[in-house]
Amino acid sequence: MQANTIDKNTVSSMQVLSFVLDGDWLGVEISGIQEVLEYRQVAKVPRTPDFMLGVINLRGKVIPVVDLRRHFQMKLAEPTVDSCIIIVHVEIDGEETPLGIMADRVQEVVEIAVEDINPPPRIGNRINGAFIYGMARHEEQFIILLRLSRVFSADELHKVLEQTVESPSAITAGLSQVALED
Amino acid sequence: MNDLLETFIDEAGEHLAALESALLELENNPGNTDHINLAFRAMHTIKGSAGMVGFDHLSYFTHHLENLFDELRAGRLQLDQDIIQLVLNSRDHIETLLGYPAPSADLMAISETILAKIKLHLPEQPSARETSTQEAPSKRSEIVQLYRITLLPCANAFREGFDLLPVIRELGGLGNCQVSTYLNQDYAACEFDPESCYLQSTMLLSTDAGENAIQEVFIFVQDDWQIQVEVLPEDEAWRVGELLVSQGVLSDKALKDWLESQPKTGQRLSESGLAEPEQVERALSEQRYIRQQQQQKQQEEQNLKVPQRKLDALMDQVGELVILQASLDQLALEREDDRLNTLAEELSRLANGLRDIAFDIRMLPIGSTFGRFRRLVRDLSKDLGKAVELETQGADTELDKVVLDKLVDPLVHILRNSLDHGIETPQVRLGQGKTETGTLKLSAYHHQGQILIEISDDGAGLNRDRILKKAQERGLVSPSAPLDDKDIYQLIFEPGFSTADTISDVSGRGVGMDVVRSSIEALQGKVALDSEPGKGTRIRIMLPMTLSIIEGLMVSVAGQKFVIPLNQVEECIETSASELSNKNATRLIRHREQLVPSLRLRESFALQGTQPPIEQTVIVRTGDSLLGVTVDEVIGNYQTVIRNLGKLYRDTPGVMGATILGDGGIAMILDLAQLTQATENTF
Repeated sequence: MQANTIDKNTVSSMQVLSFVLDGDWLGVEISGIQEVLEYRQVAKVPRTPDFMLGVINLRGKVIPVVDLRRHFQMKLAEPTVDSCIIIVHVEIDGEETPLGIMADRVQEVVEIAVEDINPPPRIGNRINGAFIYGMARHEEQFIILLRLSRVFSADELHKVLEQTVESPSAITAGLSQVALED
Repeated sequence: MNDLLETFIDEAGEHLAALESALLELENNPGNTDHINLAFRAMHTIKGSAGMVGFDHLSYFTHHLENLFDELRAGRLQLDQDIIQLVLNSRDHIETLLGYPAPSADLMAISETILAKIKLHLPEQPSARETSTQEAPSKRSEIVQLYRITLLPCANAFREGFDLLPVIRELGGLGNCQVSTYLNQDYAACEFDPESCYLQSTMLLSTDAGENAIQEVFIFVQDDWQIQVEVLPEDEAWRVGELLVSQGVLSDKALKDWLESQPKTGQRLSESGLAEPEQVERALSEQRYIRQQQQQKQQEEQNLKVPQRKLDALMDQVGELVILQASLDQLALEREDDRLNTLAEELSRLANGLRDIAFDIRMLPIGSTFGRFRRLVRDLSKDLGKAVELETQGADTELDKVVLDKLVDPLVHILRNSLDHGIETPQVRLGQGKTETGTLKLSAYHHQGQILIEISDDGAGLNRDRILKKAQERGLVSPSAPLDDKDIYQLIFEPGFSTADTISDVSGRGVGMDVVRSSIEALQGKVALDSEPGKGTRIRIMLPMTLSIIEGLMVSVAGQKFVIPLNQVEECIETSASELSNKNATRLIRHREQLVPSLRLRESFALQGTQPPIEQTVIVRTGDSLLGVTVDEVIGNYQTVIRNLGKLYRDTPGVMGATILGDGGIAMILDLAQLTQATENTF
């Protein structure tokens, strides 16, 4: 029991799954990851914004899949053979739910020493600083460490919904209704 | 420990419910000893287990109630209205106490005031007994053990003033017991001394009181009498031969030798002269008793208590199995392989059987909630000074547990409304030539694959003018709107509607019938209301049997599949793509001499693909309104396991869930109520 507490207080490194989205390396701490799936057809839920790709059937369970590109203001892209769905566990409104995030390519699990993690740069990053808790350098590559709880917090979802409605490509009758009801 | 506590609170809840229904029954039929026993047992068990989990105050409180029922059971006290009210109050108090292992001072004060009233009814008690029973709960181990007690009083017992009978009687008070008494070996007819005691007694006692309690019985005689108390291992206890051995009639070896030579036991034993016939007879009766006790135990075990979580997990697994089976069926169909086909059919038979059983397990009779309604009606009618009788019907109609749990609040609300607004005071009723006592009927039955619950009263009915006036005041309808009676009655389901002029404790606290309607609709049910002035009001609730599986009609639009709940489908018609929609994807189509608002799913859901020249329109009914849902193709019937879409898609309009298809794909299940509402708003 005591040994554990000491371990927690003096954690010296963390393991991170790195993946690529629109050329950037992103990282998620592995304890939050359930599994990585090959890309499969995602069933669109009608009248939802297009960053919410839809749902997949994972061994009989219906799991929502989202595309983080919209969050991070990246270019939209069609899935390729390398595309993967990473199933993570996040808390939405205080309830833990499995959720799939799209990745262009999954790289590897890397061990990152705590001293190698730097705070996110204030400027010059296209990803909103609030979603990031650090940047880590790993063999010539910067990995952006994501703060998933923040990415999927109710506030952020709300904001993204509003942005989506404003963007001209996505205005439909259903969408404005979503925004109104929220 | 936490588990133990949960179990305790769970079980105490059940015992309280049993107590309540027993009391309400006793109110009508005070002489029913079965119900008094039931109430006594409920109190006794709560007392015992409360002591075990450290609810000492609760244990102390229930102890006095138990005493009260003990007196009632013994016939030393007659049950009357006062006592029933008192015990009902106590029941509520126990419910409160269940929340607090160490209650605050004011809760304890409430306990004392109730106890003081109870003590008024109790006859004077010898204080010795009071203290001895008071200590009991903490000492009692709840395990029911079977003891064999052998009693050999000394020959001087009678001369010293000790009788065997009171001792046996006291032992009998500890539990279920069987006594056989016979003359001991010292008895010889020629030297018989009438003042000596030649008796010997063997008794079997099944009790949860523990060995100490048994020893306490012998406290005055233990020095002189030969007393043996032993615990019987249940599985071996009933062998006649061993019973005889333990009674000292046979030696162990003699029995074994004999058993080897003889196949049958009882009769042969006596024939062979190793044991007297009457000794065998005694052993046999002991055997019967032990068997009977064991049977009782086995019967108790036949009812299992399973946490809901496990049932949910079972349902999930079964759901997955059904999905898997559907994909296997599809594969078999494609391969045209006979063996595969046979296997798929066999699996589908098993899977369907398993699914039916799993659903059946989750079904509970609706009667399990009737008890609390009776209490509600009883208490409320007293408060309101009305005489009301609640009649229930179809208590064994079964409903999914989840549905049942969510149904209770709406039903309570409807009953309250009926009591408060519907049924008149006795004076008014008599004045109108009605019976003094109003009748409230609650019935449940199966109707066309659905559950129909009906609540009707013979009260004043709805006040049409008052409803209309209120609705106009609140701006729910315009004064000029042409409304018939039925339309006006439906207004009470509108949000923010409450006609009670004074806000009473009973109803009219801002949450009205709109909450009832939305809770029923959340269960995919419907609620309808009929009323006749002066005659009464009737509310009918239609509910699906289960929430997790529905019969659906599968349709497709632009290659995507959707499921429409079949029970709402009226018919399918062909429509032409040349009928253009308004900007909201809606249009009116002519169908059977009326115009039906219709929704083109392709446009409403912004689906791509080319529109076929001839489309299918599925006419569905929600409540009283029809809606056409225009799709590309109608595929057919489909039994569907409903899957929640999860938090992220919680508020998606028009979709109530998803289902997994045979090929592993996903289809959305349409929420017709929402679609209808949205469509109607555009006209």
